[in-house]
Amino acid sequence: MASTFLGLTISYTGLQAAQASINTTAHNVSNVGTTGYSRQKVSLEADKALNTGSNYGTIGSGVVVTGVEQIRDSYYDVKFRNNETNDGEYEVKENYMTQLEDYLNEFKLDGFTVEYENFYKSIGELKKTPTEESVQNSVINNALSLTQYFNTLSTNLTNVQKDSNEEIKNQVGEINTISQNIASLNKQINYIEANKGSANDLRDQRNNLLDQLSKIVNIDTTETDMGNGLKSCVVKINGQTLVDTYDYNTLTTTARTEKVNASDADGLYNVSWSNGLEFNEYSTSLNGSLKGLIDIRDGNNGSVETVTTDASGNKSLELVNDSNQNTAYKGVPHYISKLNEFIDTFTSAVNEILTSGKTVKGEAGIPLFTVKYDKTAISALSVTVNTALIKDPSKIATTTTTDPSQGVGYCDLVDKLIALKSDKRYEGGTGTYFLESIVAEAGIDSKKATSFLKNYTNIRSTINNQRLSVMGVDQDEEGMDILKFQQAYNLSSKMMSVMNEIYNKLINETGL
Amino acid sequence: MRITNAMMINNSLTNIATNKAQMSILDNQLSTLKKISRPSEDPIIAIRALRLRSSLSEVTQYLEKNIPDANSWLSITQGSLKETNDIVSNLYQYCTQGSTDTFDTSARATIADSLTNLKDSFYSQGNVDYAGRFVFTGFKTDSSLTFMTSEEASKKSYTITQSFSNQDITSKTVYTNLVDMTKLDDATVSADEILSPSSQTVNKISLGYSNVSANNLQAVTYNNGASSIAINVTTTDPNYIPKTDDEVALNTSTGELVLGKNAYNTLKSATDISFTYDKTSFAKGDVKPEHYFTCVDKTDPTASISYEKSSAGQKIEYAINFAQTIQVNTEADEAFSIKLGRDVDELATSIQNVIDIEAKQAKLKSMKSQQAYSDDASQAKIQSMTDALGKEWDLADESMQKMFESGITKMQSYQQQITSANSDVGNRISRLTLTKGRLQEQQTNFKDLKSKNEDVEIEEISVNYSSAQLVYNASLTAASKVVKQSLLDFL
Repeated sequence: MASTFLGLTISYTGLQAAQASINTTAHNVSNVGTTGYSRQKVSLEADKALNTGSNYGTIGSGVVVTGVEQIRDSYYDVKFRNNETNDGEYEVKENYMTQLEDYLNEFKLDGFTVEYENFYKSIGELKKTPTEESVQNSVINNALSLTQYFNTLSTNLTNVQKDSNEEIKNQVGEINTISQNIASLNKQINYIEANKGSANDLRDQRNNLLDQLSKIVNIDTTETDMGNGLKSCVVKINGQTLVDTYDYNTLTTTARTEKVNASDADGLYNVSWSNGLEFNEYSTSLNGSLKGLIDIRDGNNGSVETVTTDASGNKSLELVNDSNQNTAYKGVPHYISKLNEFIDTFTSAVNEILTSGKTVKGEAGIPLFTVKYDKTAISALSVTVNTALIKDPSKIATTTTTDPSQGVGYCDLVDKLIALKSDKRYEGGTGTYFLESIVAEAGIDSKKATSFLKNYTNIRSTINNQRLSVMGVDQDEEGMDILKFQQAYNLSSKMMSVMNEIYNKLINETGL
Repeated sequence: MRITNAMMINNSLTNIATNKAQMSILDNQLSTLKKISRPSEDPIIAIRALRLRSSLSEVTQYLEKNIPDANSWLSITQGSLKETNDIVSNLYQYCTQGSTDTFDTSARATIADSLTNLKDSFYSQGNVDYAGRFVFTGFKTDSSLTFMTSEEASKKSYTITQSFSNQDITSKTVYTNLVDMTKLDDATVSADEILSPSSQTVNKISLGYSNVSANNLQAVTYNNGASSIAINVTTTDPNYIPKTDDEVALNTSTGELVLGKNAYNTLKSATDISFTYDKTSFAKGDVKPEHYFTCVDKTDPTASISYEKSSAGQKIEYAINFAQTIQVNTEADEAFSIKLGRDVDELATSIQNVIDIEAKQAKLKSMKSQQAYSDDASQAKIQSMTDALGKEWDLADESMQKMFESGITKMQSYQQQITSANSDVGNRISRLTLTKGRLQEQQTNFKDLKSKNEDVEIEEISVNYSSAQLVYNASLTAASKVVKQSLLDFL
């Protein structure tokens, strides 16, 4: 036989359950706009039935709140983070490739293709009037304008490299902060969960941090049970441990003392673990925005640009296959070394022709292009026009002969310069084609980055919606819950007052 | 699937953003009228655009710079050659006139003058320039064809190596026993001793110049330098006859190599005859040797300049199309024969001869009636001299006539030379015009292709823009509806 006052107790559990549910609904509604918040739900259970010892057996004893749980599917978390990693990589690439493309946008700019064209136009005029000072002057000035354009372009591209380098440092800093925070959250979560219950909101915070981390670098997360309600959470980035439950590692950046590519900006950062372990920046499995930045900063199509010195001490730039020091991506160093290759081929051919000839006055020809500073290899950055020619344009060689009988109009050397334009000495193509191919390469890679980003962003929003479908707070649902729980509360209250009336009747009026 | 408000908002935002991006692309196209604004939007269009631009710029360079330049040069050449042709045709008329008509004394003097003037203007036509560059002097565009000032000309000193073929060996008439007026007052000469003049033909080679120097005499070489004949005699007598058959004499005043019989026969069958001589004291209007001959300018003895006359010529070529060039210049020796000047000089000299004889005749006539010569001996002497002069006049007149006659054919051949040079220029101009037409066609094609490649059709883009705007508006309306209401509005 159950207690006479059981009904009151049952109603009380109903009130408690409704109270807990309506509070959780309030919590959900308040966090409707919180990033990474997973909706919570009160799980209720009918309380243990009491054996009444009567012929109807047991009687229910109300409801019990077993816990407040979050609704979240970790399957979507993994999917989301994997995509986030790709998204992060291409977001960075799209951003930087757009910058590179802006500098190489020959479609809109009057850039190097126009400069090159202008140089040859003035050579064409020189052919007609080789002794005309104004024409010689225009050749020199066009050459100067060409070299200055390449100087500026090379500097601009190097600035892009510097920017990406700074961003690598920032990203490394962010990884470190996240790593520290996750370790600290691990501790707090275990503290709470050891005393029963679920650290819902702290878990949301940790998941949020992991989402952020996955954008920077590819991560692996495992959570294993250690007993007593304690969990061990291990986070690995590109296979190396970043966080191991309460312990965390950090990355550090150190400025390089020696350049990898000859035209690199000074002091690019190497990334390594603070504990001295190696962090392989050029690992093929690395992913995320960090990978994107490294590709942009160091990608030289699988080669490294080195300086070689020949027997007579002349320096030149050369590409050497080396996949340990860069990636196969076509980043800033690739475009700079393409420009360098063009300048090297172009200027050495022009100089070779000019120095083999004579001026109208019979003096030996001097090179048109030189380097700005002694003892440097000729490159897009260092190339300039011989100051002797700027001062006196008539020093430009136009003929191969000193024989005055040929006359001042004889300019076979200029013919050779003109023939150079259609000479396929730039990797099997003409200079114009080579320059155009640089533009094409940048255009195609930029297009690739843009369309990859678009795809990954689309996938991102799809997965995100799938996640939201599970963990998102729905206003209509909560609105309905408010009503539902309010009514449940009201009903339990009503139940109490009914019970009260019953007891009143029983105690105060029955048998009196 | 459970749909939450956030999902709907996300979807709406994504859709709005997609439509906005499409609007932005179309907006860009509409305001630039270009299909793309950066290569990554369509790398193929971008690269094709660059190729077409570069081709177009090259065609434009040909069409707007090189062809007009070539055309100006050729037109100036043509104009000058036409003038030259008129001058030679004038000379030709004088020759036909001279060969048929008889002129009185005063007319002859005028003709001699005119001939010399025509010769001067003939060569000065070779000094025309285009934008400060002489058009007939090959690569030596800074050097005029003739000496422009007497001061410059007189200072110059050259060693000239002139080549001849056996065709260049001509003949001339020389006279012996010409009447010497001084013999009239010479008492030792009797009337019987005044000999009647006679003429003789002598073979000669005319050099490029008269009044050459007798210094540094060199042998005449032939058969490509394999054999030679030394020159030991120099003379200034226009009527010089070689003393021996093997002799070759240099007449420095007329600028001729006078050949003995054997020497003539040897050279007649020889090839590649060459003679090197010094020439100083040029006159204003003389052609500069470097434009015609291999020579050494020794004006500054410390820095002599040697000029080589190559058979390849000095062709100035302009690029007028892809892989097509045109020769713009005509070289002086193609139109302005150096022989014309010598021929005209000879004509003038032969006229002058007749004029001189007539002067002598007039003088004798007046002497005859003078008191001082009234004695019989003097009268007899005057009479025989008058007879001799008469004969001499006949000879001179005949020679003059012959000279004019041969002048007709010579002038014809010079005219022919000029006409052929001129028609060559004409051909090149018409080739230029053809190329220009083709290039204009090409330019239009390239412009068309370029426009097709990179320009948008404004009608198409306007329609697309309107429809994109419609879609964008629709997505905004839909979004506003989604966000506006929730269950709470109905509770």
